[in-house]
Amino acid sequence: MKIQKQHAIGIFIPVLLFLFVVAVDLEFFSVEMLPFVPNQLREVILGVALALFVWGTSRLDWFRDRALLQKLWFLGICVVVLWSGMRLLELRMSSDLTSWDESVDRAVHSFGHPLWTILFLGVVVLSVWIFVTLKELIFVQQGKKTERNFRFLLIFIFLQMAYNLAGGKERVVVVPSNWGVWYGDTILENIFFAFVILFGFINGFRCKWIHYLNKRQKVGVFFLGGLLTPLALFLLFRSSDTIQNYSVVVGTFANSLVWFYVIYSGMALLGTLFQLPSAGLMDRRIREIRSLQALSATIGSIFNMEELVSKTTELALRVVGADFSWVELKEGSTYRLAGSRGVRQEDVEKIPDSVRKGIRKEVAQQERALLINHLSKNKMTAEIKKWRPRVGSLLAARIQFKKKEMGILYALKSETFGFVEESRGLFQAFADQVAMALGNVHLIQVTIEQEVYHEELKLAHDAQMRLLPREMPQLKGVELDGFCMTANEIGGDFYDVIQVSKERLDVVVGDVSGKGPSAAFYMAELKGVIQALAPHFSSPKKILIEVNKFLRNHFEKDTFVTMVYGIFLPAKKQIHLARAGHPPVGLVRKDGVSWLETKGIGLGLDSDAQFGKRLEQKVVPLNKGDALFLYTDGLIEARNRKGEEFGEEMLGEMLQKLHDRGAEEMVTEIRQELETFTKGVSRHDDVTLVALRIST
Amino acid sequence: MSDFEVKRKDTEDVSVVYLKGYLDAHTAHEFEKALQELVDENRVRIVVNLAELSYISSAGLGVFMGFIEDVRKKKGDIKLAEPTDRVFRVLDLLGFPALYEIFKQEAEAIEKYRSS
Repeated sequence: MKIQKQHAIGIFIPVLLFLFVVAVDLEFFSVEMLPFVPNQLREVILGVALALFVWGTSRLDWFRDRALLQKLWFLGICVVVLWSGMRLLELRMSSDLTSWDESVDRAVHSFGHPLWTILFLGVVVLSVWIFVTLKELIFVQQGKKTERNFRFLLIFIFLQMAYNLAGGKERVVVVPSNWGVWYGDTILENIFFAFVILFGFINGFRCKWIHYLNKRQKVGVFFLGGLLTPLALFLLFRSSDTIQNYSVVVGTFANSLVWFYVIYSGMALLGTLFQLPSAGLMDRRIREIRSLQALSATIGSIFNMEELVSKTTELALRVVGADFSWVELKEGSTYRLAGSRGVRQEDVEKIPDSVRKGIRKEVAQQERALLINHLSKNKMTAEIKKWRPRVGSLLAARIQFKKKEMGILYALKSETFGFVEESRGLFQAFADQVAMALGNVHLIQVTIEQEVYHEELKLAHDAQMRLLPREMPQLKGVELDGFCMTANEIGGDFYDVIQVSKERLDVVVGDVSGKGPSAAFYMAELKGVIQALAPHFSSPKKILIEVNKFLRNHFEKDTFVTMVYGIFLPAKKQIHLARAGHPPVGLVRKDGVSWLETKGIGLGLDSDAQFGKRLEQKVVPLNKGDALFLYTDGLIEARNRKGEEFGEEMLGEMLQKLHDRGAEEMVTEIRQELETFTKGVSRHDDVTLVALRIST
Repeated sequence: MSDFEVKRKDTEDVSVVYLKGYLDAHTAHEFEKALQELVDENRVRIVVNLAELSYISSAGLGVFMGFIEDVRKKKGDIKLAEPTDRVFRVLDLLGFPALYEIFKQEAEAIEKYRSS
């Protein structure tokens, strides 16, 4: 318990003041009545101390931080202690503390007695505690006027105290028998009192804390509170005069407080009584909502489809208290039974089709879960009797994620009218949570699959890149370099350099139609086919005809390949070239670049005879400094941001400029130029470059 | 790459398919679908008008090859008409003119069917 400075003022100063008064009482005024002036001064001190004490106590965190039940217990105990104290006092009062003053004809109390002191301090502390606790209860879920109303109550209590003090109300208290008529001695006192009662009632309506009790607690409050209120009533009628005799101010406060307590507890009892019949239902709703929250949290953390379905059926039973449940997931236009609880899947499958279809159709049209209270009496589901004669009621909710129906959740109970109307909303809310969870699982699966796919493609890319020549054959006087980049991870372009013998070097560049995995597979196959064919045929034309034959037999009909095949004979310094539907080969010489446009259609387009007939073969002499540049259409069709093509013309100019450079430099330069050209644009075709140059 | 369109016009026994835009691996299936429909309906006298086709990739060319055998087996044909210079260069490079009849005018292609 932390006490701040201002609270200390509200606690310690009043305590010191009280002790001061008690000390003076004990020392000086043991039997006699006090003269008027010191008596008034004493009352003023007590009034100030009381006001400070109320203020200080009500600001103590210790009172604020208690749980509701603790506050109620505390209140009850305070009332019991107060009552017991007063009872005890009453028993002893006649003999020890009070004597009869013949001269004024009434009882006179001896304040100097220690019992008085204890009683007095006890009353002050307990009544303040009760008052502050009542305030805490009133302020539960406070409204706009709560504070104002409570302040009015307090003001009128203190006004009454002040009036009684100023009016010099003698320490004579109206005998209880006068009570039935009026409370006070004067009209004004009665008016103040009437206001205290009025605001007591107004504040008495603030009983929101009752809502926070469960059924058992409400019953407890009702019966225990019912016992305590009569005790308080007893205080009013029997003992209030005693304390009033001791101090008008404290007595008035205690009296008002007990009145207020009686009013408030009476109204709270009524409030509890009215809520008792619905207490069970409220409890159930609260339990349902809590469990729904817990369930949502549970299923939200499941990322495995089977586990999710299993958990969903399990929780569905709990949410609405069903006997069986199952989930159907929609796949295309059909429904698949994904899991069940309380009933075997095979059994669910045996439910007549007409029933299942009818329910699905009905569920699709409803915002909230479908509720059928008496399955065998409902036209649509009457057939269910054939399945199990004893099934009674059903709830079915569609599982919908982003407006797409994902499936249906079912819950069945053996009893007819087993579900209440409210369960529809709850069941649907649960189904919506399931939908979110299912949607998440779906998204995660897709993401993982994509991740795996990308990973696999990367592996495929590496594998494909290994199919390209890793090292160029070292042939005296011949420079060779090649480069291939794919638009996607894998593509259909390829090049190969095959040293068939010391006197023969084959260079091939090809482009399989289409893109992606299928093109890549064909490319890999082609590489193998060409490697196998090369040693057995001596001319590019023959090799290409063989390749065409292979393609026609083994490839899809809509797949074709363009290819340039060259056989370089170092001894003769010449290259034999054939071109099947492929872009022309650039011949780079000191005096200019020319394009070798031999005739020939793409591989796989036509029968071998037709293909062969149209395929032209050319022999090109290659002298020192001459270079051949082979490429695929991806190079000249590459576009920049403006949509312009790289083009054959630009390639020609570049080759012209690079005519005296080495093969490697030629390939690198053109590749860099292409990369600069296509900066900021995604590649949409594979690009392959190969250069062969005679250096000596 | 969605700027590709396929339209179809039937006149008597000849069907003309109009291609517009960019025919590549992404859009090829649309063209494929159009040809498949024609073959399914047994309308095998086909003219493909390329006047508004701005680009054709190898995947696009593959579509013609995927159908030509079936169509010819059914005594029909796929004739090409009005290719732009750019598209014609691609067709020519691959050797399409040897395999498909290519006409400067759509009407000529239709006329060819009529006269045969």
